[in-house]
Amino acid sequence: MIAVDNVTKRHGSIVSVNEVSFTADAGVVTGLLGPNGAGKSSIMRIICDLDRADSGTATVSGRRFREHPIPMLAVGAQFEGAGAHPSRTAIEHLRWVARTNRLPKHRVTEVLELVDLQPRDWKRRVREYSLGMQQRLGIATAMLGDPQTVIFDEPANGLDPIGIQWLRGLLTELAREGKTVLLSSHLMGETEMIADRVVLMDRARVIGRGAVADLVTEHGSLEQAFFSRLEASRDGTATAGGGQP
Amino acid sequence: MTARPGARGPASFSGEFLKLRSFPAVRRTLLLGLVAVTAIAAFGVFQTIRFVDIGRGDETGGLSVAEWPTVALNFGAVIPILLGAWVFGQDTAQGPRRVAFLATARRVPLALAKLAVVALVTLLAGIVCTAGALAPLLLSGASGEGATVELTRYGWLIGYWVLIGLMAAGIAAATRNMVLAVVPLLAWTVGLADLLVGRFPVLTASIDQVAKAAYRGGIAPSGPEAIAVAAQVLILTGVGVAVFARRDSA
Repeated sequence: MIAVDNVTKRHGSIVSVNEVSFTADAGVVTGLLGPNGAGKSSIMRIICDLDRADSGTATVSGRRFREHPIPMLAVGAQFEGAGAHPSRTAIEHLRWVARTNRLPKHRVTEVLELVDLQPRDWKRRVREYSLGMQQRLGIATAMLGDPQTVIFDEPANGLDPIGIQWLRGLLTELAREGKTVLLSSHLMGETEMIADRVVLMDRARVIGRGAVADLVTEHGSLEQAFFSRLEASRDGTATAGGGQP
Repeated sequence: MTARPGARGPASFSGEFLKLRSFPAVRRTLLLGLVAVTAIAAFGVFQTIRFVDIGRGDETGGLSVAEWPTVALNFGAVIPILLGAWVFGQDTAQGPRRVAFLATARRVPLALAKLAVVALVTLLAGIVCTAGALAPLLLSGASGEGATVELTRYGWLIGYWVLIGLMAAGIAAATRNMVLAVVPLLAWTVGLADLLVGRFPVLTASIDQVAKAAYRGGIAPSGPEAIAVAAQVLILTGVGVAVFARRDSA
């Protein structure tokens, strides 16, 4: 389970995350939904100890990311693209990550097969990859340790329709296996199809949250729910939203 | 998924070493560096022999045959500077940097693993390039004619390569910028220090000046010189590790 408690992050005078709290439970897909600049990626980086929070705590399974004995076995994360140096091949990239975490070599080929990258592409330089292939390599890196919790930042970016369908299947399957799945997106329709619960964000704050099915029933669509909360938030009439998560 | 048991430090070192081995720029730096150092040494050695043979020994610029490998390796200082900077510089883009921090979440052990890789790789590069620079001298047969190869001075030179590589790594860790890590150090070591040392005598304690005196003279640095050099390396690597550990990934 991911627990974010009252996290605030400032960059100089700009507040990128403002007293954000939410939980993401095991066995469900939780979506962080909001426009660009809402603070979705910032909160994900704080969960993964990539950035420091000015206040508040973010834990995964009760511990900060870096407090896990081998963090990649507990949390897999993917942020925008492959995360590999463009002059390396996919297999070289995954091998050093596996070596650093003492993971068996066969795991590299397993995750490349999991993300459906063709063997002929494994030894191509990442700079030759399409955006969709880079996303798949990023997801493969996140899955290397077969973690209980996965965090994907805008994973559908650059994927073609077949890739998006594959991603839906992967995330649903991971949740069905009991894993905690947290993804960020600004694509309302896509999130409605993938996520079980959502946390709606705007201007660094949580403006709403709830089960996707409930929000859709109440507002007609997730998009309508989002804009309804957005309007209320900007009018100053919104509560941060009760309920789960 | 279970990881094989073992300490995290060696795993980070092993992973970083594998990562560097698979980095094409490092392979190119080593190969081109070896070729350049050997070529400079060969050119100097064989030209000096030729000039002496035809009675124009006074036109060799005051350099004996045995000094040319040292000259070549002095210019070769760009190799450890580049290698040291690459170890951190390969992660300067956001994506690779984030994966590096996700793969080894504790930054100080990660930085120390990277510095250990710098020390190992610059040591190996120093040994290989020294062999390359000495090869023309040994092949020419001139080393047996009073121009003996003094291993002590080459030992100091290889030590200098390791230390200057660590300094470049420290700057790259602090700045996340290859150009800032390479250009100032390179300018300093290939001539700027020599130009300024007459005006500012305190600069005789800078790492390249101490190292030059040591490897050209085949002597050990004095106690204060060794302390000054150690301080320069520790300050740059210390600042690098501190900034590397504290700075956000974004």
